[in-house]
Amino acid sequence: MKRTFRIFAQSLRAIGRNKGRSFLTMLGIIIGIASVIALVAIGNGASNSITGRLTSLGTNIITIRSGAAPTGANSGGVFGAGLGGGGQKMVRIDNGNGGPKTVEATLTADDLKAVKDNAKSWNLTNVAGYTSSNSELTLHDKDSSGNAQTARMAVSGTEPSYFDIQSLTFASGKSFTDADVTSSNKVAVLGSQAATDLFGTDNPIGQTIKLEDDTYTIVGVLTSKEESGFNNANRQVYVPYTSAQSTYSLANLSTIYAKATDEKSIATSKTDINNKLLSLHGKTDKTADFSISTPDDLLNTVKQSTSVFTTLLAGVASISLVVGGIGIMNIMLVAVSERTREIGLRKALGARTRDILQQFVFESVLLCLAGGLIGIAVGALTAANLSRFLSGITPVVSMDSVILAVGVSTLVGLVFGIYPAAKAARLNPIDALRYE
Amino acid sequence: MSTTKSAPVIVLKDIGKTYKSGEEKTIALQSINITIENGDFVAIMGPSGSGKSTMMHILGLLDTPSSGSFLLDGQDVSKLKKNTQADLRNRKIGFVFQQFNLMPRTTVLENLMLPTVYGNLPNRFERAESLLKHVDLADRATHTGAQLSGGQIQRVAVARALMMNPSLILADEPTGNLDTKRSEEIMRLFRFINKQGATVVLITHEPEIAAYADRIITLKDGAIIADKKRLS
Repeated sequence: MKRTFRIFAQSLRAIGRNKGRSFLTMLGIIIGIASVIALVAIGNGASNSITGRLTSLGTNIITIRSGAAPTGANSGGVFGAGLGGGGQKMVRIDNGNGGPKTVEATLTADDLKAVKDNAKSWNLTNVAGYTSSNSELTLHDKDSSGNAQTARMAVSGTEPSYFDIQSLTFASGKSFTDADVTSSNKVAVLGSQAATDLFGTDNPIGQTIKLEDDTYTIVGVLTSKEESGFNNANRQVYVPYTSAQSTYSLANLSTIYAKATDEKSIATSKTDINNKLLSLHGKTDKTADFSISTPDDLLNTVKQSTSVFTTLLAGVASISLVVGGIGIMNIMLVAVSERTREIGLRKALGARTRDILQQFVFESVLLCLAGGLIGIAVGALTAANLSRFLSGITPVVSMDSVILAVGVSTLVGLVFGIYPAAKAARLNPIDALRYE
Repeated sequence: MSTTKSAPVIVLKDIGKTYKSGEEKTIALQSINITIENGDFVAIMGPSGSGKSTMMHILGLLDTPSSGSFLLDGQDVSKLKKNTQADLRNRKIGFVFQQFNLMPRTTVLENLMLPTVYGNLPNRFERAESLLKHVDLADRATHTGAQLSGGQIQRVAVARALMMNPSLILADEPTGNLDTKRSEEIMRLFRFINKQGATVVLITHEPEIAAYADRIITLKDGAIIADKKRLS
């Protein structure tokens, strides 16, 4: 052990004696590690930014939607339907000219009632039925020249509990009530953008809009909410779902939203709902005509795709590490032939084969490790500076990637150092001493 | 010195060395019989091709003989594993080469300490410092080889050879790169350490250098042709 320590000290001195060359040797590793660290940090940052936005939507919302669970090939549907309000896939009603592909709304008022009745035992705080339509709506008597003004906007038919489930708050006015839902009153709540688009700076409360042939009175306007990218709560018109059903001749619900009491109970709540609805519909898991998703599912999908992306980046960067390793090996080989006489001298003075092997492996590992540490610093700095050009992404240098970088650079030093070291150790001292 | 007479430092019995390259066999040494006692100062002379380099490799445990036996301090060392050879070189043999004795860009002190990397030596710093004083280079401890003259480099090499307190100092043409004045200086140093008790074997082709030794063994074509003791 003492001997190994003394040989280690020799390796350190040998590196110190050749500072310029040592730095050049490390350069390949520095660049390799720096690019891995920087790219993984940016990948992590992107992943955090996406999952962060998703989490802000609410982490304990269970979404029950019509139609079978989307297959992997159509996993994009998870985004559109799961948290969607746009409802491209949910609109049952066909406008008659073969518009967007529609999914039949299979969730009934009985389903909604069943979920509501069991809410307590299933740990659900809120349940809301939901249906939607991309609809043309007409502003009542707004135009000075007497022409009706029209706008295309998503209309969501739902219940007051929906606003709570989606964390939507009111900027002015108030929500329609459960009584409005029961008696299909023609009242509406506007998203903030919808309110501005339709009424400009005028106060929309008490004004009316026309959906199909029905006239709705505005009772509330929502506070603006950060866009999630998947739906835009700000550009929606909310009406009681019963009213939407009568206005648009919709029989069923496209979606039922339920909020679990906490994230822990979400999985069991999901199972309970699933079992109940399967029995109500007389279906099995395979033939189910509805699907249930939780933010977990969505988060996992997103995390999976971002981790594939991050791994890909790291993979590309690792190629430069291998190139760096080969660089180390080349320079070590040159060093061995340059230092042949030194090796001969050491052997004459009593160095064993193993001592020489150790010394050169130590040198290469130390160089790589130092290169790795410098690379981590350079990579972290690069990532921090690159973030200026990537809006919304804060690079995250994870402890994992730092530990990995240290491990990998040590490994590179070991793997690419062993051949030159073995070559040095095998030298015959007589030949080595005579080497010119 | 103990009362019982210690074993000779070197006993070579019927040593032979042949090199094979393909079909051809080259005889480098044959029927060599030499005994060197503790405290001797022996020069091995001969023209190039006489076998003196092979001789020095065998004596320095850098090579093994093809036949015969070699006792170093009474221990048979003619057939040893490489690691055992390395350990014995460290403990029992101090080398002084013609050139490249010092590692480049390395201080005198570090060069002196080099043998202690591969063997345990208590008080190695104190020993290195006292040896530097011994060869009159105490003020050069932190200099590198490039800052020293040829004579000073050889003096460092002599000091390093003494470092592990070996049984044998083996000097291979130690004055080969020096002018006459420096050569004399180094040879006086060898005489001095010999008087202090070191056993010295000197390999040289120069009679004037060999003349410093007490005994001159002359080789020719791999065999001993003369073995003369100086009358003192």
